[in-house]
Amino acid sequence: MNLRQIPLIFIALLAWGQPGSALAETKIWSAVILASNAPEPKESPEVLKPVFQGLKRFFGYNQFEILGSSTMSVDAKVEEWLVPTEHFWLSVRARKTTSKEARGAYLLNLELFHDKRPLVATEARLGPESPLFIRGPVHATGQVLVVLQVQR
Amino acid sequence: MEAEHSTDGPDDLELVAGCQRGDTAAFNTLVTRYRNRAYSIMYQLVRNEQDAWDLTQEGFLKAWRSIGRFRGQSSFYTWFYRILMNVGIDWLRRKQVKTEHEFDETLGLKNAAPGAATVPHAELQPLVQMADREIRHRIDAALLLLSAEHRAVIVLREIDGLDYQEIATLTGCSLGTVMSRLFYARKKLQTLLRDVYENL
Amino acid sequence: MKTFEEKYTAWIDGELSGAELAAFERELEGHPDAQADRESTLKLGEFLRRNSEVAPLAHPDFFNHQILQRIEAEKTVARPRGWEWSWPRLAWAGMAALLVAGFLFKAWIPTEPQPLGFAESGSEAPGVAEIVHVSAGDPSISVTPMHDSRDNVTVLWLEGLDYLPASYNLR
Repeated sequence: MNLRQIPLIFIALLAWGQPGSALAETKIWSAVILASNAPEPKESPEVLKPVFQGLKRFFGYNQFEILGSSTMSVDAKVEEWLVPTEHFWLSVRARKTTSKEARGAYLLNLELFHDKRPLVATEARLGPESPLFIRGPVHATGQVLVVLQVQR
Repeated sequence: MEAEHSTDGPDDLELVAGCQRGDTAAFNTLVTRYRNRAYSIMYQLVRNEQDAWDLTQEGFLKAWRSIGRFRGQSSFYTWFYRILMNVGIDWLRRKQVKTEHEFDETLGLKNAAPGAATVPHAELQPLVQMADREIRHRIDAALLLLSAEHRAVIVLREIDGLDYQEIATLTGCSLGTVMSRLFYARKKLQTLLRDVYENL
Repeated sequence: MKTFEEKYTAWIDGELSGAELAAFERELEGHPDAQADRESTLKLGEFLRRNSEVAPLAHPDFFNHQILQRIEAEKTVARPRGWEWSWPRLAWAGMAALLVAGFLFKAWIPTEPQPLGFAESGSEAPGVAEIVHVSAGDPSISVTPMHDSRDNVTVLWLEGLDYLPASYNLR
């Protein structure tokens, strides 16, 4: 094989995995949850199963209840949405990354509020296999957490 | 400044040596040994469970990060306690809102009557009716009005029972500064709490 | 030479003795309230001690767990990697360089226009959630980004938040 052909082979491989097709059916799932330790934990909601082990191992709780969630499909444009709960509000602004930035990911602008108090604002990249958690305040019964993940 | 918990098992210096080799299990044992005492003193300083929890963890993490520099010139707990106090005092400094009640330490009281600054402002309350929770609330509110440095010396001296030299070592200031801070911190607390404690 | 405040504190705590105590007590003769103030100060100390009981640390094992998790997460970020060149490694590095070249080439292919409002970042790690920028809502909050490679999760760890009592209804 001629060495000069190698870059062309790579280009062909890369063109085969266009970002549009890779992310065509993905969505961003965002939620505010209450994590706690229960002697007999309730079964985790189906939608939390992909991140259950990560949450359990990192934060040490065994029960996770969804306080509020939103699922959004982000196509070519910027999408904005809110995850409202009784006291915590997550504002999300998202778009797909371009191939210059990172393939198959999303760029997010997030703001988390506790009632009217802003807690944190962040700009983050969300990969398809790698969720993002935010550790919120401790409640007498557990801890408030935020979860964002790419859903296929 | 000794741990109040059982120190069964390897002694602190053996555990520290383990930590210096990167053994997190050894560090876990040290955390278990001192966590209650550390949390208790941090709670006294910040008067809030969540903050005390977070800051005590922060103290342990800072100790882990710098354990390579521990040379055994003091006990592990003394060394750790100093880190912990710095974490707490730094946090209080960042958080504290200056109040108009702050004493001015530059004023000498040589010619002032020592009791003069302690006249209660509030009406005397029938303390027998005051619930414990209310007393705690009054103490919390009074301590919040002290500067970070004054709060630290009061907690270390009056609650933790340390002597001046130990406080000086932990807070990194001179013996004279410790005594002077104690003087003003006590005066301020007398002003704020006399109506409570004088009637118990 | 001790200041008045220093000597007064030491006198209250019974830390003066001998000639120093006698000299200071002479100095206090001009302060008729001093003895009453001493008793009041000692009472204050006793009052603080009596009301200083702290509830034991709740969930102590979880407390340790969180510390160890953070240590592990920091290790993942900070772990130094030793490296020795060898022929097989050079071959792999060559392959990797070619791959990077392929990616760079691909990056020059025009893409769709970018909406405004996001900072540019040059990372090429699509599989990992990554914090580009973060700011706390107020100075009492601190934010620490961390990554746990075992579960491939990225965590924004907020501290300095208010504790929410049981009466605080989250639902």
